[in-house]
Amino acid sequence: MQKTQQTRHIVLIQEEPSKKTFTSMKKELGTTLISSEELSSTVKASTILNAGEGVYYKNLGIAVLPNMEEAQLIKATSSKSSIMYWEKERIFYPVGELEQIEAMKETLSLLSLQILTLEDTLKQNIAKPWDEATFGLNAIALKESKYTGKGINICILDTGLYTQHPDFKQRNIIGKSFVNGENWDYDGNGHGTHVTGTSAGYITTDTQKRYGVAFESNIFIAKVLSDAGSGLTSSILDGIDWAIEKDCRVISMSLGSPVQIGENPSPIFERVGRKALEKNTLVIAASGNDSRRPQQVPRPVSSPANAESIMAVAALDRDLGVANFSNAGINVADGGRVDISAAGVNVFSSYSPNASDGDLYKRLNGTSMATPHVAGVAALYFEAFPKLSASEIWLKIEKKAKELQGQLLRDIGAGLVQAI
Amino acid sequence: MKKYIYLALVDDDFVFNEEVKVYFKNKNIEILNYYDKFNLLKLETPDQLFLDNLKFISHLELEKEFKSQQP
Repeated sequence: MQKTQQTRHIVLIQEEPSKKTFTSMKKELGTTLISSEELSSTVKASTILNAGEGVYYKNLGIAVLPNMEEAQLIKATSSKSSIMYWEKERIFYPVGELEQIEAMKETLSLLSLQILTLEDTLKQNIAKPWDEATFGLNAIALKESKYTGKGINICILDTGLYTQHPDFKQRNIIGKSFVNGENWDYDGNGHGTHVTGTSAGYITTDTQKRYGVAFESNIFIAKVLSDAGSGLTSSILDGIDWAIEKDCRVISMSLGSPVQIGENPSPIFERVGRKALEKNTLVIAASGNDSRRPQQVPRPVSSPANAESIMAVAALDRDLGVANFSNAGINVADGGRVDISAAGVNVFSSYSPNASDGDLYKRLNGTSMATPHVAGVAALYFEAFPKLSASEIWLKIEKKAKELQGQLLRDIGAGLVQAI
Repeated sequence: MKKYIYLALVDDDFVFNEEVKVYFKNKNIEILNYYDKFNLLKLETPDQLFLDNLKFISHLELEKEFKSQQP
């Protein structure tokens, strides 16, 4: 059985009490009191105290009393006794142990603070409810999806991102610029912030309108286009190389360069897209905006979307018809097809106040706007099917696409992309 | 002086070694980058290049400009 720690009291006694007073004090306290004069190497204070008797240290005017009722001590102090003051015996520690305890207290207080901060962050990150969504998100049936792109790395190759945007403040964002003299986190164009918003954003902080698809994905920003909206082949290669290095599953490229009818896809981008697929990364690109329908025959899918190993995205209008500017699968001998389509007209998303027409939000048109819808959906698929390869994800996305009545395969590919 | 920037495909068994560096240097071609994931070289030269005159390379194209896709 564990021994219970005996409670003792330290009592301050008036200086040099007479023999009579000493006797009356013992009576008052109802205990035996042994004087320190009687202590020796064989009669120790601890033995006396453990036996339930008190010890009186004559030279100090102090007595140590075991097993006293505090009520009794209170009564004794208030009466005209020789007891002046009493207190419970305290436990003292060596200084080293005290310092340790202080350090533990500090750690505990720091830990408490960190727990509170974590709790705040988690509360802020819990998805807020949304009722209203953009046309583009409704078209892909996002409301029915339980996936959010959680944990999936998605890389947007564009003009950068305005990272101070209120809708992105809580997000985990990593970026790099491949344009000399321009920072990835500024976006002096707005285009990059718009497409990032569609693929990986969530809701507007004020109205709670949802405009982004994979809002729990990890955002990687590769600035490969200047603030003027253009970039070179090697900057794009640098961006793709970096995204693969960062283990991104999806690369979204709302960019292109027109090709002529009969022109073959670039073997450079065919190689890059194929190598990316081998590394389990799906590269998605805009089919281009060079067409003027219905007056003219549509223009062929631009580079790099025309590479066989890169998924080409066409744009749809609000009536789910092909957008009048969207390019088509004209050069299909060796790639050059449209693979899939998504909303690309009057698309609402985040924007950069650093752009010349800067604001926090904007509506834009283009296959640029359709591409990030598909990129966001791809992130949902990667989350839903973690064991599938990028090539298998591509097939699944196409298989689940919604066929659209009256639309041609060359214009919209497998159809309207659908969330999983 | 005008300079040309090329992207060049090399074969899968290509090894980026001293022999390659010396070869291009002797032809007055500067290697700006080697993308080992893609087996691609980025080259700079004062003269136009022709595939027939080059070792190691299976395809060659000039760097070009890409734009954001808004109509």
